[in-house]
Amino acid sequence: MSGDPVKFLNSVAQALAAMALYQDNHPARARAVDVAYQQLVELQAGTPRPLFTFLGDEVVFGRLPLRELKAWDWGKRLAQAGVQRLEFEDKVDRDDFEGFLDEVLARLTLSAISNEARQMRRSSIRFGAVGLKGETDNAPQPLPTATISFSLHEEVDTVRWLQREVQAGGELHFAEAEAVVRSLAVAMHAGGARQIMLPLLQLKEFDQYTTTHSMNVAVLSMGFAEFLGLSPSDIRTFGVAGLLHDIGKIKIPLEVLTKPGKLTDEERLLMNQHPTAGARILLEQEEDLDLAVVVAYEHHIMINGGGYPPLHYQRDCHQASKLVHLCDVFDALRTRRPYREAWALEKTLTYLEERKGVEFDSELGGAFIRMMREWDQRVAVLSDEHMAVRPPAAAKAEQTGV
Amino acid sequence: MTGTPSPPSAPPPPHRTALSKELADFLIELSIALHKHTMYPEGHPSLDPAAAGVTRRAEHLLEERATVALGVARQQLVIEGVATDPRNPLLSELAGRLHRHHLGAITFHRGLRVAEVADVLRTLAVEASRTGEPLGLGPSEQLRAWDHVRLHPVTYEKLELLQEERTAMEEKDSRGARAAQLWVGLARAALAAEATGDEAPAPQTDAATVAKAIDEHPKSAAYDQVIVGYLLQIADELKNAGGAEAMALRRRTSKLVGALQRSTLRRLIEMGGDNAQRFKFAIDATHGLAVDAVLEIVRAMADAAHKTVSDPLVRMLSKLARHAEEGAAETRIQADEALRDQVRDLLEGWSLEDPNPEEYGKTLHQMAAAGTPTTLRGEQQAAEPLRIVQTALETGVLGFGAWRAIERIVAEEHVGSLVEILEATADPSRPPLYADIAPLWTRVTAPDVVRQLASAEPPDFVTLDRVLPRLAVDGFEPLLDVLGDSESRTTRRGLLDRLARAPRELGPIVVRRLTGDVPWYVARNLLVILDGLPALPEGFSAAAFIEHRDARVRREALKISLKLPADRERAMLGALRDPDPRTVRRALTGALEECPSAALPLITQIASAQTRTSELRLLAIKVLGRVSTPAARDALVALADGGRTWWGRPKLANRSIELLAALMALATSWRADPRVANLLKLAAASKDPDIRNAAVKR
Repeated sequence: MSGDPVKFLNSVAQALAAMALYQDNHPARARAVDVAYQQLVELQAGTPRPLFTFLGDEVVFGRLPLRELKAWDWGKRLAQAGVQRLEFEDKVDRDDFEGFLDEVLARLTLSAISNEARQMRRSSIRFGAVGLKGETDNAPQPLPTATISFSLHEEVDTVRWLQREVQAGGELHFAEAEAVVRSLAVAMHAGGARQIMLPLLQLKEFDQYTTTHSMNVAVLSMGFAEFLGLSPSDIRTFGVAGLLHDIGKIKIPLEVLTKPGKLTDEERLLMNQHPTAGARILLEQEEDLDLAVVVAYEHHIMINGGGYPPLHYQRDCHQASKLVHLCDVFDALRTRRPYREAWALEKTLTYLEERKGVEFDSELGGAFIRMMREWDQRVAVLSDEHMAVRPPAAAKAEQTGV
Repeated sequence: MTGTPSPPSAPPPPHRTALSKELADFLIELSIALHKHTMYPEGHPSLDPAAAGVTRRAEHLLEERATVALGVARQQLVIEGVATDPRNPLLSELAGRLHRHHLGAITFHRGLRVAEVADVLRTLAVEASRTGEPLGLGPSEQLRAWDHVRLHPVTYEKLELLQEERTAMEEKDSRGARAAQLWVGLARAALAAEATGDEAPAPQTDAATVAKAIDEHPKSAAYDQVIVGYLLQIADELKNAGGAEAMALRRRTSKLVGALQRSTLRRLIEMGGDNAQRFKFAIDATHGLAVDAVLEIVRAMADAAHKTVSDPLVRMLSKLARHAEEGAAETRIQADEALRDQVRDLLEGWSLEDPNPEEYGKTLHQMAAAGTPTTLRGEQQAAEPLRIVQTALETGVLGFGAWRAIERIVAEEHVGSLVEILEATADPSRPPLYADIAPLWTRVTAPDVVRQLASAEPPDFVTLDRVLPRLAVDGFEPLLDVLGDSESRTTRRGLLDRLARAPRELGPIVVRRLTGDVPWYVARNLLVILDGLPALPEGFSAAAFIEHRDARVRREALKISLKLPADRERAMLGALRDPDPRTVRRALTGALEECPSAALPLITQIASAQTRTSELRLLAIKVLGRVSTPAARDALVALADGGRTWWGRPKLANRSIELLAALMALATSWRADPRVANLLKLAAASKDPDIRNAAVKR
């Protein structure tokens, strides 16, 4: 007589239920196992190697879905317990069958069954999760070792390209600016997510000042925002604002921008228009650059109302403008210019200290100075954009051969 | 012909996407026709037209396609990359019926005949769960019995037990089976395997083979649709799935995407449903696929969306991808995250754009209304919209940024502050402004803003008064709306005051609103507004309201009618008979200015009626005093004349305020009349100083 796969599965379910209810030696338990085993024997008379698959609502016998067991509760339970496939060899003895039921019950009830015990028993019943035949994709791949280092030359090239595009009257490519900022953020955490560093570029050629300075202000702004505990999205927005704060300078003639000596009144007037020019460029963009607009416009306004541009509507500067103002001045003083040498860190910080409450917001100024003192060792000065960004300690160790 | 089993089960799409109307019509026609075939016996007159209807719809679709492929899931159908709504009862029933037959797909091919469709419908109409013989499990010849329709079964082979070295948690992950099943389905669809019998070979499932098959397959919309259907589901699955099999699916799919030719990938993406579904797929892919595959998808999306991805951006993205794969251990995760975030932002930026500026405007407006900036920014550190407007005005650029800010200000109901800065532009002591502020005034006086100001609780009357002088006529309409709807007396009173200052052009609008069955208070208010306008609309008559059931409406209608020569007399006569004393008083007041002779009897009645209030009687006497007709004189005389004493001497009427008024009127206008002179003489001799005073010549 040929068995029925549906009856067999139902008997397995009843056996599992009985096993869950009764203790090992209880006759009801043994009876239920016997019935299920008998069903298996009958089934194997017609199908020597029966094979079941439990896929969500579907129970498949061989390749045939069992219509009667559609949405069978036990099918779902078995699949969830990791029994997605159940295979029987030609001959299954009763002990082996009971052992199999024990193991399934253990999985269903989450009771421990040692892997050791499982491995020791050679079973004619195989079961477990299903995957694809004949592929080795599941094997965990070894973590590759680093083969490349992180430098900032793509970022520098992109910023130059951005500036050229705007200068040529084109749009400001926000996605590219944001990609630069995201990449700078990666560089800043190259030593680990919790180990920030400040990769600052050293100016090589005076005519590259705006590019180098923009990158540095972006890095400093993001670092400072992180120091202040702002959210990641705020940090990135501050980074974009820092990167674009001097975008208005593309409207200033290069000879004025790079003039070695003191600017004439007329040149100074021209130079002082860059915040307005920057805000205009950014306001015309379709992208939401609100914070960048505000920072570009306000980053030369002092806390005492001095600076430029003059405002028709008197208002306090935005927090981001005050923050970028500090980063801007810090980087400008720390950079060698045609008309002076770069200031030393201490001299720069002293200047910032003195100007607190006059030019800079006192609280933010204090925090910035604190940050630069605390993170002094985390500043990675890159004399070239092709240099690898690495934690200063690592770079120093490499240089000294330690 | 392509054998293309469809995805085994389509997850409900989180974003609602719409089928084209013609596809939806076809599916519904098919569902109805199949339903009829289950209900009616063979030969029933409804069946042939039903089959013909399906054929007609299919032929229409096949004009532009060689094949229409219909994927089957448990409750959904997948067509042209779009899954139908599982809540649609018709389509869900159709899907369920096909699913019970273990069918994965149906394809319709050009050249379809009504007889074939009728036969297919007859075949499908047999309920699989009743016969226990699902078509998909039956002989393959039955599925291929027609020239232009093909049924495709679902299959389960190619799954096997995984090796034992898995953790308990992994084994518990039942989604693994689905991941594997999806990949087999994709491979089978890609290799166009029929899999209709045991003899059919199981498909090759390695990514390179699948990619090659897709690349080399002759271009066919039906084939692509099914591939895309699978890719959509795989992307969705990968977004949340964990475990080894999901990881394997991720690797396989990433390899597949990387191995596909760029043009193939673009073709598939273009096929991927409507815009929303396409972007959903790409965004899901950014979660689930390997970074190089993400880059490939960005490129293909850019092509499909006609966007240019600049070389510098490609370099930046490639750099991040490179570092995500090969960078230092500390950098990898961050570069991976940065790349995926960047791509997501990029794609979201593209999906926002719309060539239709009106739609774009609506989107902006909705975003502003929701208080969400265009892209996710740090809310705490965002620039305040008012600051953006100030900056825009100071720099003279009212570009996208400024308008976005203005819309936010409106949405956040801070129009007052915007109006304040607009008014401050005139201050010459401040640094100059470079912007033309006229468009901003236009915005803050737009009907939606006026409505917002008026309907706030309490209304922002301060701001409303500032914008009122600049309102165009249509700007007053919202005030009329709120006036009609508001339950607050203060609001209605405030609005009435302001509407009284409206220009005369508002008249026709108000008159239009008076037509039909309007509530009494609306009618009253509208009449009050009309009365306050500098001029009444030409041809307007309030006569219809003179007999209104509510006295308050009648009074306002009277006020207007008294101004209109054509209506005046009739209105006044009616009002003098009105039971409402306030209406009568208004009519008498009107009569003081000009009294038609027809009104005199009524006025005389009022003057002499003891039942009337003194106020009305005095007013009536005053009117009589102004009218120099004998009838008026006689009426006054009658009021003053008290007849004769016991001794036969003439006497005045009893002292009353009405007597004094009548004497004053007579003394003013009829002193020369002998009868009046006698009465005045009596008054002059009175001991009562008030009576004597009333008779004095004025």
